[in-house]
Amino acid sequence: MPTPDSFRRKYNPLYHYLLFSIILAAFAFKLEWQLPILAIIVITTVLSRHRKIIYRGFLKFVLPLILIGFLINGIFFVGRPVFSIGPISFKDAGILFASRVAVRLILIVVSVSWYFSTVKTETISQYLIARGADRRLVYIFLLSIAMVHLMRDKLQRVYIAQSARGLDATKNLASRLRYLLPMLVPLSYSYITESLDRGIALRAAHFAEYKAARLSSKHTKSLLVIEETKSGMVIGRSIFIIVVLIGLLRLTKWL
Amino acid sequence: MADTTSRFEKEVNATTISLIAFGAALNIVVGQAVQLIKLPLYLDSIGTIMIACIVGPIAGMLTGFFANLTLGFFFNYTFLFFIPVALVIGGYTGLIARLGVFKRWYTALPAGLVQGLIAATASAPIAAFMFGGVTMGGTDFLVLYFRAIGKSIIQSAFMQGLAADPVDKAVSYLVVYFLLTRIPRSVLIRLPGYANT
Repeated sequence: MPTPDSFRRKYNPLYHYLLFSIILAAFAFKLEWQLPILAIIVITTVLSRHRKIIYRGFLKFVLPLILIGFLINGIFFVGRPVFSIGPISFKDAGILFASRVAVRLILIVVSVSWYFSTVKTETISQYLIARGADRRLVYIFLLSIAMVHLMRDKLQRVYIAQSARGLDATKNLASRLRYLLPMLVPLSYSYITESLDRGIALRAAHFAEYKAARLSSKHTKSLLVIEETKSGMVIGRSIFIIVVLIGLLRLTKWL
Repeated sequence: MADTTSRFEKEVNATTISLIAFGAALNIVVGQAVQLIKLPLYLDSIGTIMIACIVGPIAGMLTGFFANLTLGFFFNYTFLFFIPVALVIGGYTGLIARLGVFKRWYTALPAGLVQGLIAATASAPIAAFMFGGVTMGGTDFLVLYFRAIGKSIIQSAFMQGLAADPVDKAVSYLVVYFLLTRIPRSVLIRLPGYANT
């Protein structure tokens, strides 16, 4: 079906195969093997034009987690002291454990954010539907993302309205707990009725009765065309198979 | 298997999918609202508990799953790892709601405490194995304390969960109970889990 270019999107499966491979490596590989992978990912993502998106969440949430992990595990593990800062000594076993946790976290978090910085959410959802995913689940995912922003705005308005009515959230704990219900009741009531009305509309459109079919050639649904790059598929699958084989090899040795 | 499929179809249909999305968004928004009014609780499972009660356990599990997925992708990556805990919360609440625990506050309260114990048990191995016991929550100092008195990582993570989760889940259950009592019966009667409220 010929479609305008604005409805044509490319999807490179290499990214999701890389994502699965790195997550698997984060759990199945030895620390020594994980370090070169980590180095490659960090260099590639730092050079990527999406580096701000990739590292924003990482620096905000994951780096402090890793640093505190080093602190707590380094101090409280039983083992040989490696170095000391004043009266506090850091043990080798704790540092090793914290390093394992840190490498695993960085591998997972950076690869997840790399994937999501390269592909749009709508493209992923259209791709999943075309590959045979249940469209109800894709709908829930998309709607929940959209609803967060709408609900946040609405909650802010309810907060202002209830403050104008005299509710004070700056007092003690009990008054702040009491403040929660006048905020949540209007929000929940309006969204439950809205969701039920939306349900009627979806039922009328036979939304849930639609069974997604797996498309073998072009992934088309409505006007959107998702083009899969063949080279990405081949390279991605090869990497994933290698990682699975290494993981299985390690598992058999371990058993 | 056939029963599970039909239950899935019953709980995840055109009427309920918007409710599940609402529940997932409610988890996220309430979690942020709690910070806004500076409450020393998480309350980030209210949406899961509510949907599990008014729709069913599978819907509750899906709500928890999508809430953590959305939170993980767009706000804080650590939530991705706690998806199993969200599934446990949704499943347990959906099953326990059928016993009528949300009909009275004094049955909702102990059910919430038990939920807290279950959540602490489910989250301890994840917190210990994935994060070395640290999750950047306000209760991290408890992990520090338990480690200082000689407990292992898994014990410290579990005890930290025990100190925070039962209270948090009990309050969440009470908030859901009071929310459901304030929503008109004419609306609740349209929901699949009306009999649970």
